[in-house]
Amino acid sequence: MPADALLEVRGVSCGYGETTIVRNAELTVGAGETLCLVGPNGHGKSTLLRAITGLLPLSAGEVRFGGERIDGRAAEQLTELGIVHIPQGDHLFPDLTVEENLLMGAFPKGAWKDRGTALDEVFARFPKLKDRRRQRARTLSGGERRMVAIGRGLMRQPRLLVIDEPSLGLAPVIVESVYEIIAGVAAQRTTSILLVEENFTHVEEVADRVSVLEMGRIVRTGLPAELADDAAVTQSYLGALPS
Amino acid sequence: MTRRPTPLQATFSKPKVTISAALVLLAALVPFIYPSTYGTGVLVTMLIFTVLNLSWNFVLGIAGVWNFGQLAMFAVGGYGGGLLIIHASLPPWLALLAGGIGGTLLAVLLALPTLRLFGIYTSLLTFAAAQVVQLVIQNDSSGTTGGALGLPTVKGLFESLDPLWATRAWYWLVLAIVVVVCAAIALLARSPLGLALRTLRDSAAYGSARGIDPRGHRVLAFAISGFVAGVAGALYTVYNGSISPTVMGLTPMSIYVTMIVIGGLGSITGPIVGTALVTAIQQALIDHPGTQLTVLGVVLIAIVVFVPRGIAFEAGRVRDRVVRWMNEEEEVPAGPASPEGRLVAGREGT
Amino acid sequence: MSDILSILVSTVVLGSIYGLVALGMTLIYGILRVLDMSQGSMVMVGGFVGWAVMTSAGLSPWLAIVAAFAATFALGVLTQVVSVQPLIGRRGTDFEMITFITTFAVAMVLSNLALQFFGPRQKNVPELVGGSIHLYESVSLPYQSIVMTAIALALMLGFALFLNRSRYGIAIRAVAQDLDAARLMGVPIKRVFPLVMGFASAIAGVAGVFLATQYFASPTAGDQPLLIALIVVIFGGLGSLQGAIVAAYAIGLIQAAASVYVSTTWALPILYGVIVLVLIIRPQGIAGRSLEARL
Repeated sequence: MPADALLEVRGVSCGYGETTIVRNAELTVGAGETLCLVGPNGHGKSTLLRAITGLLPLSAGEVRFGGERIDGRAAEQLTELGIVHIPQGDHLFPDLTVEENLLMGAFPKGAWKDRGTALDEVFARFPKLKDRRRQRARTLSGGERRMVAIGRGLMRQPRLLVIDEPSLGLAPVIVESVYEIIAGVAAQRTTSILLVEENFTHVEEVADRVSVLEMGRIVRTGLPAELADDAAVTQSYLGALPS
Repeated sequence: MTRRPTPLQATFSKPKVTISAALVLLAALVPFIYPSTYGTGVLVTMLIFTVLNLSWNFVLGIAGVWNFGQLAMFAVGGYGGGLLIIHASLPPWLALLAGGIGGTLLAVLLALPTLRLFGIYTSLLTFAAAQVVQLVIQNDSSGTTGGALGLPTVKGLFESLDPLWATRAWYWLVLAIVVVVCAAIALLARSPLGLALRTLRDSAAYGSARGIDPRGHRVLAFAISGFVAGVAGALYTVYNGSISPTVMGLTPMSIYVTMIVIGGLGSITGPIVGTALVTAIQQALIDHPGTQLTVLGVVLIAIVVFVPRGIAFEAGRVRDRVVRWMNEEEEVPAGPASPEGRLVAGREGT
Repeated sequence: MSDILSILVSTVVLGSIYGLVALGMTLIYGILRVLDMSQGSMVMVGGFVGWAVMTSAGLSPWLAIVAAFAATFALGVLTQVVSVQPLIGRRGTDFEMITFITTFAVAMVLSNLALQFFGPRQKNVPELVGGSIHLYESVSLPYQSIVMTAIALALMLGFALFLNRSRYGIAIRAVAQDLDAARLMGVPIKRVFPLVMGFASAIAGVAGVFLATQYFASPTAGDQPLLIALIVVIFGGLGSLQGAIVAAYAIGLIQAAASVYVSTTWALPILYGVIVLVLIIRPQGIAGRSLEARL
């Protein structure tokens, strides 16, 4: 466990209406650390993320960010603290242009001042987006949309970047480049990352630690290598056995 | 006053029918408790509007089609009935039927263009169509409708009786119509047609996928509702001996919508409760006519915000306790009524 | 020739006023999914504020416009907080239908309060500026019309710039397109929603001053603008700003032409007839995108 925890999730339960999906979840992300949450489809990974970033109320437990309790605060307030959530399926604004979508990433007042430099940095990371800056987001391909979604998340210096399944629905070659970008951000060690994936394959490249979520509970946490070695875990939750 | 509906397993249980019958009997005795021509007349008008509101709620609340043009059917029924009495010397009884047929025809005509529309566009189209009907009636210069002054001197019913008894006879006639319409709508709501309409209301895509024809059902719902509204219109004309374009427009519409929503949109007895309540408010403020609509507007917002299911639903919970008592069941603590136990227009997360 | 010219003059004037009212309605619908029936009352209130400032207090027409903007802005915010905000996210109700009804109730309250305070009589409001340019034969173009059109166009342009360039403007459009994502970006939706309704109502209020100077202030002065704004937004496709502005001038043209060639009383029925036709042929309006059926 890292000494200086940025995000602490303690005994969190949450769900939709009467249905509890995540039970008693515990996890910690240290400053500059990258934690990957893996687990099968439909077992509550996204639900937990939504609860952490204030889109969903908790039914039990607490969430601390930099030592401060943040559960119960609305999503729009949490962004002010430097939490950036890149949701599953991108959630771009379909009728805004690429540039406007990116600018929305710099909405908080502090970030808005530096939007010009931030925009240049994102365009430097994703040169393709620069060519498409005046195009509406709905006209982009899946890969380009993911780039906009990630770029939008990087429009200000997030303290915690929460990314929900960045590989979802993309061609393998594009997944590679998406993970290169994430690895680049992770390597800077200035931004903590909480990343959710169903697939273990790419997680190893970026993760400092990995947690496994099964049936709404976190059943294991460890170094990527330990989990990859654990044949049972690998088989049950993470797909095929390594050959 | 029948019962709080439960969608599928609905039964007309004995205690509920008994309570309803008792309430109807009580309503029938009101003219004796309240022996004035004026007072009874207010009640007759209230009951006529109840018929209209029952018909409107059927299409708006139960079928979930955003029809804000119901007053066009009411007006066509009223004017149609009136003109036939004047020009074809039709007996008033038949004029009521003719009004209903007129309402049906217009309703079907109105339903056809709305078939391709969704939600708010439906309300705009029906509202615009009603405006056309009103403006045509009002601007008619051929003398057929009497223009803005209205259509006078229509021969009424019960003319041989003295005024008090004539008004009482009217009261019983319209009360009987309210009972029949309410029972018919209660039965219809539980029939396969009602089930299909509610399915389409709650999820049109799901309904269509299960083979429910949205168009046919919508036209049918409009036709049924249009017939009742037309009858209400003809009743209005025959009772008042005249009709004018002021029965339509923004102000009357806002009053009727208030009645329906306060009572409970989609609840079968809602329009009865709502119409009675709004009439009571109007009568209480009779000396301050300027404040009536202001008060109604505030009440409407308050009800929507604080009693979203309407008064009839809350009254139904009370009634259910009486039913349990009549069934000699153990008194169960009144928990929150089950959300299934209502017919409210409810689409989640539009 | 003089017919055509006078039609054009009325088209520009009517279209600008309708454009202002419809702009607000379409903005509110696009962002909040509320068909705001209280917009007509904002026009009416704007008219009375204009009357109070210009006629009663004898102050400058420019002050009247500013006062109407401020008053209806506050009223719009209030309307949102009272009649729309409590219903957002409520389960088991059809939000669009129920807010259609509650904003209608607000309209009822406002116009009847006006009736009580000001009485049913129409109040004359002086022109913003006097004088006119003679154009052709009997047709002349009052300065008043030029000023009104200029202000209306400036407001529409200002609004377009605000929506396209400013931080909150882009955020407002973002909220309309993906509420959750907008919250994740940090957009304070609880503040944005009342602001949108405030601004939209304020624009309607300014239109109300214009209408009052053209005709008069009265408690029912908002009814016809509301009906016409409804027509305009259907015609333009609900939620499409450009569509609404184009439609406003198209409707102004139809109304002006119908008034000249048929008669003033039949102008409105003809408009409704046209709109019924438009909806039958193009259910989503001229510029609207078709709605998808959702399971």
